[in-house]
Parts: sequence; structure tokens; C-alpha cells
Amino acid sequence: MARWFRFYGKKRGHRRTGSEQAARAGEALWSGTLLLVGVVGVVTLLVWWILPQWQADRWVWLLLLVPLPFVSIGGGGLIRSLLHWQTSTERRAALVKRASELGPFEESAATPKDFPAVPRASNLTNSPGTRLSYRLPITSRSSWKLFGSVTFCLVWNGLVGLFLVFAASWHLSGNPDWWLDVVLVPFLLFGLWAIYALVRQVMDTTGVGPTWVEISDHPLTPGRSYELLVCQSGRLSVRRLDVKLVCLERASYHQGTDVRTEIRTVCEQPVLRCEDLEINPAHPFEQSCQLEIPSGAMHSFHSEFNEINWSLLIEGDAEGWPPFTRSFPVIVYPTPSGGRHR
Amino acid sequence: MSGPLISIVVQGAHRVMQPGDLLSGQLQIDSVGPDEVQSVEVSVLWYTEGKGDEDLGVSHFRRYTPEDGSEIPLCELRDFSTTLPNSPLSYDGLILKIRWCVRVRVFLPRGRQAVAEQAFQLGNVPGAVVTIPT
Repeated sequence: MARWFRFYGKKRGHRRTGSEQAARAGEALWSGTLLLVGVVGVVTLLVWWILPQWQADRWVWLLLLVPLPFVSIGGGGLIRSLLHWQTSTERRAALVKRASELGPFEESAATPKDFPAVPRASNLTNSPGTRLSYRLPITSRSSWKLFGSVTFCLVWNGLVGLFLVFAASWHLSGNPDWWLDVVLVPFLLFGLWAIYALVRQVMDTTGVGPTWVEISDHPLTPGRSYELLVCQSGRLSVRRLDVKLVCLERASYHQGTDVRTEIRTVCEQPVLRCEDLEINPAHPFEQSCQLEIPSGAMHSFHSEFNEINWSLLIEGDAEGWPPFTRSFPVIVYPTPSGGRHR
Repeated sequence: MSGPLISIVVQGAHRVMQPGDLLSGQLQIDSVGPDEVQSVEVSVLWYTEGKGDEDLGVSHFRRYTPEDGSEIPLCELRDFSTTLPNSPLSYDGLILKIRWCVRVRVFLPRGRQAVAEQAFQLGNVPGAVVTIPT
């Protein structure tokens, strides 16, 4: 039965009511139009502006920056539409897989050839430990937060300072702008608060002292035990220090033009708990313990929109400091028996 | 006119497959004239389901066209086999699921396609149960 043309499409689960062929044709038409506009723009500029004037003005070539994006976006979109025409998702995925298996790119691929869709462990094993085999790298979100705070503080106070200079110069010249003075007051107060918050954040981030974790082997396998060494330095009175093994599922999806990410904790297994520690620079805290990966646990997984991530989470509560959290990612490989621990 | 009838038989689909196992089976396409089938694609693949956008990875892919030179018509009974990889294993999580299947896609005239798939399980990973101590 022929399908009537709909002016709107509706998603029902994994299906869409619109025509995929019509969608691809529309996409190709749009890309072709952009390409045509860009080419016409380039030719017009060359003939009417650039070639007659380039000897008098060398910078006139910069006008090409206007139509060139149309050419690149339209051309790229048109090529993509032609390549995807009548090409299934499975065939495209097979072509991508074959390309990634080429010799020059194999070592830099995100996942090893023997374990597709499992992240490479080499990025986590390139730092040897002092007592155990490997020192795990830390993922520090606080560093990025600090970088963001510094940038914001510099930009905000820089702009406020600029306007302060203008206001001061007008006062000194005998023509004060009182409206500018009034408007500047709240901006100046906010800028001073931003500086105070930044200094506090720097102290919180650097005052606790570094944490490091060493492990006897990596990557990890479900059902096996590993020796762990946890170290915390600084000058602290720690009320509580917890080490946990955590597994997270992470899923990204498009909602309109936004990309949203949802994270869910699947497993949170306590590994170590210490209380009432006195840490000083001469005697950093060190504690060995056993880390057991649950048998039957799902291995680490990484794809474009979905991930399963394992990590060691260290949470501490020290007197005079806000609670701190340090995360050390680990990779769990599948067992050779495919998830069944023998 | 109804579409083609695609039959996929996977040997041992009722049991759990393990990494390294040989996955084999047969496929057949009925209810369609031999001249109507432009090409057939057989894939052994994994895909994700759940909250996130779908990801897909192909372990085995084979495309059959009339120009292959094979004496077997495209819609006749055909064998396929492949060795299953070490990962990713089938997984039933909270917001993410990983499924394995054999998918057959038949390309027909005027841009029409017909798809059928037969699921199977790779590995013994139990379904995710939230284990967070209170």
C-alpha cells in the first residue's frame, strides 16, 4: 500500500514514520545548495573584486573567507550524502572497522584489536609505581574547575578594571560620569568576591596534598584480587578516608540540538576505610589492601555514545578542609571465559 | 505486495555463546523473485539500547551481489560462519544494554530494503543490579 507523504515525522521507538529516502534526498539537496552558493560566491568575488584589485590591496584575498565555509560545508555534506546513499549502517561500520585496522593507525586506535570496544589500558600503565607495578593516573575535575575560575576572574576583573580606569580619568579631568560610577559598584563588588572565592578554591585544591594509588597489575579481570597501595600526603587531620571501587554507566543522547549525558552508578564496593589519621609531610599516610573485582562483573566499554567506566574513588573528610574526592580510572577486561569466573 | 520473507537460523542460538566460539548458520529469502534482489548483506554485530543514542559495531560483514560470480542465487539457502570476538559481551544494565545479533538486509528495487535479525547472547555477564552500600 502506497504511503502518503507526511509533512512531519514522528519517532516511535526505533522507527520513524517519515521516508528515509526523502530525508537523504533533502539532505543532499541542502548540501548541494550550500555548495552552489559558495562556488557562485567564490567566482563572483574573484571576477568582480579580487582579481581587479589584488595588486593594489593584498588583503583583498581575505574576502574569500566569506564563501569558502559554504563550499566546505556544502561539499562535505554532499560527499557524505553520496557515500551514505543506499549504504547500510552495517556496511559503514564495517568500512570504519577495516580502516581502523590498517597498520599505521592500529597502535593509536582507542580500543585494542583483541578486545573491541574496550578502552586501551596502555594509557594507565605508562607510569611505574615505587612499590607496586603501576601508579594509576588521577582524573581531576577540580583542576578544570580551578582553570575555569581563574579565567573567569581574569576576564571579569580585567573588564571592570578597564572601566575603572575610564571612570578615574573622567573624574581627574573634571567631567565625572556618576552613572558609570553607580553601575560599576556592584560589578566591582562581584569581582572582589570572585577573587576571594578563587583564593579559597586554590587553598582547598592545593592544601589537602596529593593522593596517589599504586596497583600490582593492570588491566583488571573479574574474579581476581590485586594488591593496592593508597598514599595521602599533606598536613591533615583526617576524620575519615574511604576507598571504593565504582562502576558507572554513561549514556549520551541528542535532545533537539542539545547533547545530554546521563550517568548511573551500577556498583560501589568498599575497599578500604581509615579513620582518625594524622598526616604530616614527614609521615605521609600509606596503606596496603586487597582489591577484588567482582566475578561476573561487566568489563569496561567505550563507544561513541555509551560507556561503562570503572574507577577507584577516594573520599576524604579532613578537619578544617572541605571534603575531597579523587578518582583513579581503571580498565576491566573480560575474562577469557566470557564473564563466567572459573 | 508484502515484502520478502527472510529466514535466519543460527546454530545453537538457544545457548549462550562464548568469545572464540564459531557462530554459524543459514539464511534464506522467500516470497521474492530472484531478479528482485539486488544485494544481500549479512552482518554479525552488536548494538546498544537504552538511554543513550545507538552505537553499533560489526564483527562480521559480507555483501552478496549478482556480480560476485556465485552460482547460488541471492535468495537461495546460504551458509555463514564467523568466530566471535572477545568483546563486547552482552549486557543488561540500568541505562545501557548491549545486544548481539545476526542481521540480514535485503536490497530491493526502487530503494526498498527488508531487514531481519536473530539475536543471541555472548558471554555470561549477569544483569546489572545496583550494589551501593547504604
